[in-house]
Amino acid sequence: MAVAAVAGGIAFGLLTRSGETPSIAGFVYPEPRAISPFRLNTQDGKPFELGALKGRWSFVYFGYTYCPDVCPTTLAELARAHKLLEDAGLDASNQYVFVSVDPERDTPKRLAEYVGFFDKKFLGATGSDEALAALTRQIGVFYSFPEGRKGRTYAVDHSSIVALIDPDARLHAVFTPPQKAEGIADGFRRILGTRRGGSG
Amino acid sequence: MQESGTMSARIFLISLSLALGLAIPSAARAQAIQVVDAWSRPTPPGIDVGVAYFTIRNAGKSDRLLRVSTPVAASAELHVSAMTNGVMKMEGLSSVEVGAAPVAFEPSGRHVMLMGLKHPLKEGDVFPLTLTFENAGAVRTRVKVRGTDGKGTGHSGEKH
Repeated sequence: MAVAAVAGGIAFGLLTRSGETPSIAGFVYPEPRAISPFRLNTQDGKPFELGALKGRWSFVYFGYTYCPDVCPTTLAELARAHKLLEDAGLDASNQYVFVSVDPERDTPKRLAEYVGFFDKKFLGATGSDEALAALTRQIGVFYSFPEGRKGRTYAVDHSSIVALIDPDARLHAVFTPPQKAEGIADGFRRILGTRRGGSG
Repeated sequence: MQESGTMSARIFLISLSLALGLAIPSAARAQAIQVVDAWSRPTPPGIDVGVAYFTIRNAGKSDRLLRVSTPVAASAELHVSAMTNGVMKMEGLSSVEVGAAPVAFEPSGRHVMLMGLKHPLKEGDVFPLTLTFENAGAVRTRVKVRGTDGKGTGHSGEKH
């Protein structure tokens, strides 16, 4: 009896939590924020716009290819998260996007070689500073270049977040560093759970 | 017989002390600083920057890592990635203090940035890295290139 009551209590607790903000390795917006139009280009020169975010979940990371430490570390974890979600059957139409904030050095060719190296499914995108700002400002991603940058190996300061954008093109959650594949996959699972259990 | 026995014992002791006299300083130097678990990530085609991670152990008195070099890259710098107000910044380190506690160079922290790689690093590759310390001088280690996920080719614990 006691066991059943406890189990019932847990089940009730889980049910009543549905629709609330789940806890993840980062934070979930209680009210997802609609993304306004923007226009970037993919590594194939195709437009990457607001419409590309609709109808699927998107994991978006911001960085640059000359980044030796944090970007490869995060992209490797994101590639593992992709595999974990694929294995769990939660990857039907997800997309994984690497947005370079360093268009001067990150040409489409370079982007293509870079993202494909981590995961064949990864999409690379970038644009002019102005075009990038149209998206990064909405997501709260900051980046800056060193003053008087020269040569090819300068470092870019940047927010190292993975943004999760929902199928209605709304900023739904942010995975904060240091991201781990398990944390991303688990957080996504919880978010899906609350959406299904809640009004959505 | 006894005489010759004493003689050979003396010679032995002399050779032993000579051998120890020569061997102790270099052995102590080699043992005080150990660079272990050195690893790197494979690099995408067309990307000539890379990274190296390792752990420094110091059994001797406090020392200071001054610089690193490797024949696989034009230059190698000591860097640290650090979060400031949610923004990841990468900064150069002029040197790194190595006291009694192990000093880890690891993802999203202290690391060696390799610039001007002469060829892409592939999983399974091993390349030399020389760390120069203020007191211990040059300490060489071998860096193992692991899978893209930082795993896959196992433990790289080379001790030198």
